[in-house]
Amino acid sequence: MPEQDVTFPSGDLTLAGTLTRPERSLSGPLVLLVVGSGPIDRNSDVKRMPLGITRQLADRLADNGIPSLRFDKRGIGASEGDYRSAGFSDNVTDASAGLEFLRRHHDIRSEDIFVVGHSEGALIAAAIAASGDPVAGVVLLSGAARRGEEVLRWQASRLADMLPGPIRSLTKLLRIDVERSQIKRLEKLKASSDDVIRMQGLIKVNAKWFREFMAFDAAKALAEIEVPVLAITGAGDVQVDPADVELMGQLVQGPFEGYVVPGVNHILRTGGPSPTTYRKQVGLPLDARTLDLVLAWIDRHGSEQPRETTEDAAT
Amino acid sequence: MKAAVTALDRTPLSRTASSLCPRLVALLLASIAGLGACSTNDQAVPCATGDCTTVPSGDITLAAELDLPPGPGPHPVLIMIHGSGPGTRHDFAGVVDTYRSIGVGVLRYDKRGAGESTGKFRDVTADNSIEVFDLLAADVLALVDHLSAQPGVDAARIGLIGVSQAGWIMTLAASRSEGIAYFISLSGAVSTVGVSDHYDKIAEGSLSDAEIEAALTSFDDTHGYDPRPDLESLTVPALWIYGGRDLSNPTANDVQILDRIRTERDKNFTIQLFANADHELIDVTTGQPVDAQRVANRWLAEHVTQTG
Repeated sequence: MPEQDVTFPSGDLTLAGTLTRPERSLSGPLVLLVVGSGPIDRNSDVKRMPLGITRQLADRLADNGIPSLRFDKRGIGASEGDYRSAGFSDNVTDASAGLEFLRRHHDIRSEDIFVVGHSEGALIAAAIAASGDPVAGVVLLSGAARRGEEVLRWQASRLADMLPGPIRSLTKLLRIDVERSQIKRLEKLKASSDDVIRMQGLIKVNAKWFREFMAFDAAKALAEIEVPVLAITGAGDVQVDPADVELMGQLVQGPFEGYVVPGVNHILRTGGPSPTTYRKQVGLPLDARTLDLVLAWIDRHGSEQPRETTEDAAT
Repeated sequence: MKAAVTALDRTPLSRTASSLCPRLVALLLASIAGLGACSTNDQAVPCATGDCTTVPSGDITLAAELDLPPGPGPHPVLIMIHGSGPGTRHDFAGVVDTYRSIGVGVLRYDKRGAGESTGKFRDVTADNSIEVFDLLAADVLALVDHLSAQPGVDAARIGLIGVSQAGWIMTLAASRSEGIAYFISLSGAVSTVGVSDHYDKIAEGSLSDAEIEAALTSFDDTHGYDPRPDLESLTVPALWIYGGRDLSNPTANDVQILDRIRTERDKNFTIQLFANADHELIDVTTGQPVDAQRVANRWLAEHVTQTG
């Protein structure tokens, strides 16, 4: 399908992305895809872990005639800027810049643009919708409905629980407290003040992102969303609590649909919930049920909007 | 990209893995910035930074390169021990300055049959492991002998560092020579070769922890080199770093072996487990390397650089 490399400004930076346009004209619903956390590119890929989530979403959307824009985070791939010093707020700014680009350069009406985010991208989508930046609706994949710090603490506890049995025994043998050491790490990040810090002397960590992410309250953002929301989390997600889907439904003001898909994990693959096997699962296609839900929802909510296609104009 | 990951995943420690070792070591023990992709034998940069030489080992010669820290010394030196592939000294180019900066010299060499070393590179199987490891350990001992006679080198503080298959080789070499004063093993193998292969085969094909756990409980393969007697005879301090989500090497089995020998035989073993890290010591959730370098540096400070 036709893909076009595009660039757009976000503040002083130029960000790069891919516009997938199944047809020559961009009319009807269009999707801005927002990737999750980590140094991943427009496709949700990082060298050792090509998750391919947004690439697969874009492909599937295109197959259904829906154009999409996905972009490299600042400092990643072909986008300018510095990844490590970027905060959560910068990531929201960059996604908003993507929306602005679609509106200005492609004359897309706000009421035709859906923001689909995965993981951190879901929180970014929620933040955008909450800010009143006009969009047609948001899709929150593997998202959360609580403060970032709570999400990370929940992850730490799940991390310890989810270790393979023999390795859990080892942690006891060696008296390692996986959860506690994660929490200590978070507390150190929380207390930091620089954008980038060296944890334990050597590895550079994006501390500003951690601080802003921990402080961001998804529940508060969700409560301000008036546009339609679709939330999908895998029942086997160990990075965000699948129970948050229900919370999201209670929080948002507008129409809401939420699904917890059995047998699906954080990276939207079918298979073991444990991150041990992520690297192998990245070779698999995204869970078909999840993709179908997204497509069907956009189809329903996209068609509710009056379209100004050429045909409509002629009649 | 997918192909590369698959190839990496499917590599048993004992068999060939040209992609495994360089990436592993580069990520673990080098500052990550500025490192290229896996360097391989085609990198014809003889003697890039240090002093190059050839060292005889039996009927072959090993090409080696020594980089010492600044100052007259004598300096402790780490020999970089290869993993399972036909690795060359260029694989470790990225780590030289990391160690020099903490006052430790680095001796790198081309594995037999790789790069400019003569001899034949052999894939290891459980069946030939005793024979091949014997040669690979002999090569290490030849390097130790050579190194101990070099000016600026503290012959009492020569140590080894290596990944994966090197766990076997370092154990074997250190049990045979008093010239090796310490070693650092990263995701290093200490189960029998048969057990390691068995685990590798099953864990790599699994898509869930349950399947991997099943693989871990069915260990009964006694084929190939068994390092336990050699581990029991070791007298030197050793640091063992493992990832809890290693799909190539049976961490749970290995750590149990080491912990038992450490307790029963009162060994100076330090065992560090990064519960959420894989064979390359990358955190499986974040895709970021765990801080094995900090652990290694601190251990070196305690056992080598500040004691000499």
